[in-house]
Amino acid sequence: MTEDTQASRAEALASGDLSGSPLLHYSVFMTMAEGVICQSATGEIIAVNPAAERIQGRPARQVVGMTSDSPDWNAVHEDGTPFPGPEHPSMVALRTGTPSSNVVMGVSRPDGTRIWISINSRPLFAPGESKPYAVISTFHDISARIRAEHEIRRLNVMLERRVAERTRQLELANKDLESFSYSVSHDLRAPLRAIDNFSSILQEEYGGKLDAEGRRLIGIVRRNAGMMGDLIDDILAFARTGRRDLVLSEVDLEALTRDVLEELAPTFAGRQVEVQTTNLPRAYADASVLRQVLVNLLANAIKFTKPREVAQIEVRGRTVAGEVICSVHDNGVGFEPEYAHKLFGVFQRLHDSDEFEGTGIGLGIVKRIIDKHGGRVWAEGVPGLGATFYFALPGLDPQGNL
Amino acid sequence: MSETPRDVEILLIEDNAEDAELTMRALAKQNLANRLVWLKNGALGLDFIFARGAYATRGSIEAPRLILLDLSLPKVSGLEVLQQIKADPRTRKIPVVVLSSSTQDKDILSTYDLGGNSYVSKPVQFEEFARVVTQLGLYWLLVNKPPHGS
Repeated sequence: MTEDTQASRAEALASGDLSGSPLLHYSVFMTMAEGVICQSATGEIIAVNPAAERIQGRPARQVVGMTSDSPDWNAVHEDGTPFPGPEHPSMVALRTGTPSSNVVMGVSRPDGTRIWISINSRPLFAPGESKPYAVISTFHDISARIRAEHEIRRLNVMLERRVAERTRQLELANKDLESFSYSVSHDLRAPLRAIDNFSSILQEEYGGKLDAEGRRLIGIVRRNAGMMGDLIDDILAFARTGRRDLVLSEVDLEALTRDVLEELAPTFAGRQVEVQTTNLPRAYADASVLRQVLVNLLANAIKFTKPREVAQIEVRGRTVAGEVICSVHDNGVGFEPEYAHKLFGVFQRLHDSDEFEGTGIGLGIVKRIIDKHGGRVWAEGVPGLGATFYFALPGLDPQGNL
Repeated sequence: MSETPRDVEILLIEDNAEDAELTMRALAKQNLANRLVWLKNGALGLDFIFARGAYATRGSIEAPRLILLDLSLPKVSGLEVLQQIKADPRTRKIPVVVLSSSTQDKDILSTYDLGGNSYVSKPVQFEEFARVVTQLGLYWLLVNKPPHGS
């Protein structure tokens, strides 16, 4: 090709009036990224472009003359079932005269690897003819996508299997835990009852034969049996809060607090305890377990203000960004801030047991209940000045949903 | 403790000897344990109630006035005993009080579902235990009015 003809061809391309030019068609055919296969009315391949050679890994000279029926294609559907030659989109187009789009097919390359292609087939008609004289199929390589899809499917199946397995394990563990708490409830109580009752009978019926030290020792046995009884009750209560499903409804925190204070009144009879409630909102919660939260927090406040001449307790509410936050503040003995994170652990105690009685499970139950509601708990304290315990519950949106 | 079935006022079905002793002590303080029979498992309990097996000689079924029933019993469980008593028209009117260590909702619900008359959880503490047993003895034997002919 001389420089002259090159220049004039380039000019012709640039001028844009090449709609009928074989040169434009040829250039597009040779350079496009999509594979093109042209088949005659009998299905024989008469031409392929370089992209088709590259995608299928077969040079034109091998492919020209092949038909869709050739076993070399080893064509399959997406689900792996065979894709017979007569059903290939090009053959369907030749037979019926209708085009088809985005047909997915897996074909083998000569090196044995399988590629996935998405095929569009268009029949060609001579003017006035109703039977196509040829078919043009274009296709592109979608192997990466198909492989990714297969991988996703495989991982999904694996994940589902794992979830099923884990669920089964959890159900088993749950059952174990249930029978465990049952046996705690039943089997630990019986010997404890024997210890407490028979040492009491000893005290009652043989107390006269014992000296002061003997009676003191029986007292120790009984006190410890009582403590263990309380522990068992608390462990069971803790286990129960985890198992029960929540029954949510609108709860009036003000009324609930008043109610709980009335219930706790006998525990601070004879003491000067001032309780103030401020701005307590309505919350969306399980009323019976939320009641337990307030019982535990208020009982703590009452317990740890014991050394104060006048105990001051304030229950305060506010709504921040849709969250209902409730706090119980007291002027009690407080706690060291560095231990704040330990407070809500089960059986964590920050005070000596001879100073303040308790099993250390109350705040664990509080946390468990609030966690179950999707809320948060935290605490602030100053040694000698008091403590504030907070819980936040997800609020209601204007539609009344959580 | 009287062994004449005819006279039985209270039938105590309890496998734990200590619990049985404590129960009988508490009842004895109120003079309620004079005509009490204590059986150690559910199978014996049913034999006694239905006058069969070792108690076949009872001839007819003379109902105790009150059955105190533990739930965790060897051989035949307390709930099975309860079920059989309440399923039979001859024995269904006998008050059955379940006296159990369990505080599980499941046990309480099953007791009432099967027609148990009362569910009492055995307290651990001496004073509490004595009070509860005394109260239920007094209530079912002296306060409660049973139907005629039972």
